[in-house]
Amino acid sequence: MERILQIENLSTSFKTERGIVKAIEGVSFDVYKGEILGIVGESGCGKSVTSQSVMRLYDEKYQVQYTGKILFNGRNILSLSEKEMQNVRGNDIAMVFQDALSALNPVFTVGHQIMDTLKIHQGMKKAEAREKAVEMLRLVGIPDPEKRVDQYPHELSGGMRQRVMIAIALCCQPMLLIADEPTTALDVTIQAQIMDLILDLNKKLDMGVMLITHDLSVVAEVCSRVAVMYLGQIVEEAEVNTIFDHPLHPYTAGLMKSVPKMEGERDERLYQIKGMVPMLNQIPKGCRFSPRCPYATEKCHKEMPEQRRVSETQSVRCFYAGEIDY
Amino acid sequence: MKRTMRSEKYDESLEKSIRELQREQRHLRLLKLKKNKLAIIGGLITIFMILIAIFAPLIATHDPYDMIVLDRLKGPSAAHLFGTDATGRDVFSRVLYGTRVSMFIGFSVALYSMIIGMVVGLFASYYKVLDSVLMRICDGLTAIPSSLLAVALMSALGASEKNVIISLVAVSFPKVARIARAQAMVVKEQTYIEAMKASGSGTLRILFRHIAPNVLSPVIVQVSFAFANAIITEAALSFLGVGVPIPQPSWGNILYEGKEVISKAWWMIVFPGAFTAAAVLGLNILGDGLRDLLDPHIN
Repeated sequence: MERILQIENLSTSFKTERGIVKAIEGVSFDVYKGEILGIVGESGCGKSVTSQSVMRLYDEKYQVQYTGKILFNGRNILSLSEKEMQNVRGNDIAMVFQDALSALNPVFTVGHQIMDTLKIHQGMKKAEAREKAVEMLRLVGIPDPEKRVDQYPHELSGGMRQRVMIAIALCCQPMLLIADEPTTALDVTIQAQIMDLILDLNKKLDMGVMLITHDLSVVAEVCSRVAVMYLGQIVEEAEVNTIFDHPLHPYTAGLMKSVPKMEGERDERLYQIKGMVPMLNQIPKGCRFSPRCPYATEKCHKEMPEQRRVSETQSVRCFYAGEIDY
Repeated sequence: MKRTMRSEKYDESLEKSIRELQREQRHLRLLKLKKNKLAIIGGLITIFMILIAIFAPLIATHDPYDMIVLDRLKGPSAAHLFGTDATGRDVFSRVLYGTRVSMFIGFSVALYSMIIGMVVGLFASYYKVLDSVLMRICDGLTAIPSSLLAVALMSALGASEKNVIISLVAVSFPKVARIARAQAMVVKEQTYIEAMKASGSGTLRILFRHIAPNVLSPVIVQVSFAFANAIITEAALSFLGVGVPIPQPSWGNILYEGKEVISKAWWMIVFPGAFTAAAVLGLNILGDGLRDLLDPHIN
């Protein structure tokens, strides 16, 4: 399979009043053409920082510093100039945001906003762009697109707005789509529709999708591979079945155990991972999960494990991967 | 087959209810405008003044520069509605032509301070270094009382209509810039601006195509006040003799000429004064009304 995105040892640190905070550290993963890679983890573990770093959306002058490499089609995105980056954004890599209401400009019609992207990247004339906008709205399943194209965001429902966001993201046929919790702000039935739409378009257009979510059921349904993040690091990366059936990292195993099950005893308490996620300025020495890990040893508290490959498709950041039986 | 038919019917009724809703919204907005009677009065006064300014040559009964020495300082009569001044010129015609000058200056000042204020405010909101430079310049300009600064600028530039506009813009654009900046700072943190960035828009495009329209409504309110202030300050400058050069009529000029004969010819003070007051009042009321209409927080 063709590799479109290759992230190597990426760290993103923010300059704050209390000094430099590393939001993600040593993150490496790949996205292949036509696959959906899920990135899961708790709130604040660096999922969104990872996606925003790929788009380089942070204010680089005052706010943020990147190290490592983000290779997109072999080109290192981090060494591109802002001007070159603008050509990549929206054209080669597109993004769908979490809250579709605030991600659409309230003073323009949805058609105008789709056409804007087309005008920037494809140099289309107005009439042509409008036609394409209608076509895109039809593609994402909006009924009566000729009429909808002239409506304002507040005239559409939440699910419709998220469809419009997807239409904007896909109108230049990007090779990579980053979906940052695209269904979190929607209710369950609409969630399923939007996920189906993303899955469907992923097959139709053969693009890579990086799906950021904290919903394991969504992951099980649509992703082909999964990367699990904890406190700014990827702790395990594997194919979706492997993650659910044979997790190797204690954190992944804990996550899987804390999902409620249909079968089993009724009054059995739901498993929970002990402790709290530490603050980013109080990162533990050694393995970052060690203070909460039931299997942690002396070594875990002292040394940081490297991410190592255990099979063709699975890699994990734990000293005892494969030795513990969950 | 049956299913599609039903869904078509459903779509139709949905479409209908949407249309009804839109009609209702439009109706509500109109109702709100009607309730806001003051705003309508302000708007009417302003439109009235603008019409006078445009059609001054048609309404005027005399040439505003024509001196009929025999008719000096005549009171209001059928021949001279507002009387005549010390050199026998028709005050009514002069006030009408003065409306033209004053409204033109007021409008130009409003327009230019809006453009300059928006550009300065938008750039200041986006670039931190520019922010401190531009906003300190604005601070400096607002620190000096505006009529004093305008007088100083006029004496440096020399009296002419163009220079009046320049110095009044210099006085009023910082206020617009400050409001545009404050609003832009809020708007630029919105997700849709980040989304625009993520779709590859350049900085200038984001600033002027996407942030600017969202900043416009508070700016328009401020600009209507700038319009009114420009009219007052222009009148003050002309009254002090540093405004519009003298044979040309403006409300301030007529007052200036009337000052010397105030004990003999009250009409030279009352009529231009009343016009100035009416125009400023109208614009201020209009500005208040616009604020009520455009600001979502008050509703």
